[in-house]
Amino acid sequence: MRVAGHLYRPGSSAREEAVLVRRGERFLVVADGGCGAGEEVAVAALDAPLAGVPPALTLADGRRFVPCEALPAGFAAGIAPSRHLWRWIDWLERLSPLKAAVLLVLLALAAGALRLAVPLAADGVAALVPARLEQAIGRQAFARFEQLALSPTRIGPARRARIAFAASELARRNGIRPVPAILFRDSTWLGANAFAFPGGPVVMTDELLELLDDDEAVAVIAHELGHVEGRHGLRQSLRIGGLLLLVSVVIADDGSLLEEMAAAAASLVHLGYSRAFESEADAAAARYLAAVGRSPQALAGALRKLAAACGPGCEGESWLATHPAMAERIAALHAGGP
Amino acid sequence: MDEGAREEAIRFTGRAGEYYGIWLANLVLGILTLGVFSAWAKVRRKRYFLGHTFVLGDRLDYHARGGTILKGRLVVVAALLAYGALGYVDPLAQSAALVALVGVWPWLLNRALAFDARMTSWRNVRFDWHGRYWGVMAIYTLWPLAAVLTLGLLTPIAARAARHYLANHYALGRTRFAAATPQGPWWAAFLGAILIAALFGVPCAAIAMGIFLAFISVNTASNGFEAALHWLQSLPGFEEAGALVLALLFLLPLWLGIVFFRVQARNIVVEALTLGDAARFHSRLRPLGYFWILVSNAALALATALQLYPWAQIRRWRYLAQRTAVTAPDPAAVFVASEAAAGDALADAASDIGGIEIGL
Repeated sequence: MRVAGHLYRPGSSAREEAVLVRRGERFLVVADGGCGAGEEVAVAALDAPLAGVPPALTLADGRRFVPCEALPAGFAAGIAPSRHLWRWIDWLERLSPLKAAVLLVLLALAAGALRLAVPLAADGVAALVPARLEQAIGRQAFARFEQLALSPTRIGPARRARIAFAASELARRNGIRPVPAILFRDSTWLGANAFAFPGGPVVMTDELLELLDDDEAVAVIAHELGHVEGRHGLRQSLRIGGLLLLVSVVIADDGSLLEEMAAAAASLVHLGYSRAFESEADAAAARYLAAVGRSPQALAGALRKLAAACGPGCEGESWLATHPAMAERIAALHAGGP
Repeated sequence: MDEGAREEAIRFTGRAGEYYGIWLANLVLGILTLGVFSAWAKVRRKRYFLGHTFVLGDRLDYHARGGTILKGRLVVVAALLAYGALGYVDPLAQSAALVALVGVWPWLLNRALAFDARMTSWRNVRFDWHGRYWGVMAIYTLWPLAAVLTLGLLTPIAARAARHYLANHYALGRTRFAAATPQGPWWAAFLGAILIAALFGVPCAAIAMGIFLAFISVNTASNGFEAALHWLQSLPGFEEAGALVLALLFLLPLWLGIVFFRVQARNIVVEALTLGDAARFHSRLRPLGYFWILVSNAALALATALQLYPWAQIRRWRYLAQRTAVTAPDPAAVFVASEAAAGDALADAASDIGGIEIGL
């Protein structure tokens, strides 16, 4: 068996035309295009096979033989370690319509499986995070957030005390320990809004409070307490982190476009998780409210007022929304309520 | 350079159909192994592209091992996780870590550039990188900072400094690459970029303005045209699509300007590039042609759910190869006797360093 190619000495850019001949287990290099005398050589390594690129052979003395054409079948038998794995991958890469179809199906399945596996894995990690660390994270995040976007409340102390007391009582009687701090802050930048930081505090903006009556405000805080009790903040950040880690590792090397596409896809998936958490918090709020003899309909009322204040732009289901459509949430509360 | 020297374009023989299989198989294996295989996938991708790239009749080779690259990536991931965790424990320490990173950055960058160079070879001779800490600090931190602080005015000087530094610190074996260019062409490229972005920006702005006015007028009058617009607005996802189109109309001229400048910068520095007295290089990219390739590649890859992405990569690489050429007085023996066995010792050193990758 013989194959024509070029021979390169180590550290020199000189090129010689040569023919590599295999006789049984022996290899001979024949110089001058196959007319010269044969020189017996030891082959140290063979490149892993790759479609369209004839694999080069590294000789024991550091010279490299690069064939001009694919090696004849069986030419490289017995050299190069771990050849089975690479041969198998090379076979996989040489495309046929059937293989492509199988790979595309696998790709879709794997993407679907990861979509389910990432939340499971993230929740597993979240279970390992002690409550005290979660609260430290929440306090830290709140401190930063307060500097950025919040200013002292303008709401009178009597109303604040009333709502905070009712909400704390609701948390206590529903077994949420420790009872998170319930804070009110002014924020023109964020508008009517409320948030739960991991492990507390729960913050409601003046803009939202002005929109709602006391029962509705307590209901919205119950929703946020649902986030705290479900550890949604921590689980959400772990999910996003896991997803981005996965995306960047899988396609880290593939240049700009694919990476950005994947990051965009990942953020769509994470918005999906976020919507699931919102529905979960709605259900938790309805449970908490019912347990203390309050009407879960107060939350539906609050959502309705928010939707009205927000105008038609907020209505309608958008794939880009972090929350499920308002109408859907209100309907769910009615269905689940007494 | 003697008179008989012949110019030869770089030849690329990769085929989209062939590469699609490699891309798809490696993507699936990467996902199934939760990203572990992607280090080996990188090796296979680079081996495919370089193995199909022929300079003076000989292909390039890539020798990195997947395991080395994986180790480098694990280090980077661990560092990122530690950095993120630090923010929760002690934000002050996190800020200190950021400052430390700026200090370590040039060192990391030098190692990454050296690793990639030493893992690439031509005719069994490895490339090499001779960058120094302060040189890299200057071109990747100080000059860009100066360019930003002067509202982009110093861009030509910063770009020239960076490309000179890169061109003058790469080597093939022991033979250094070199390039020296006058200031003039860089300023011409800069002004050209501004001019072409502005020229292209005028029609884009006009279209954007037209769309915007059509939106506003919808609420004040009613006829067939406005009714059609109303109907359009009622479609799901209309607002997102509208925002995307408007964003594109603003971003495309900016992108054109940037691509124009980068293409000219490559042409300028590669036209001046030499490898010892063994070879001279040429680059004849056309800014508009290359811009069209980038735009249509992105559009087609997106429209086909990435199935044309491998084809797009091949198309771009082929264009870059075809429009780059080498002149060598003796193509068969570019610098036969001048090289001692430098390559292997360098490669051994590089494998200790690990394959930390940094996007440039």
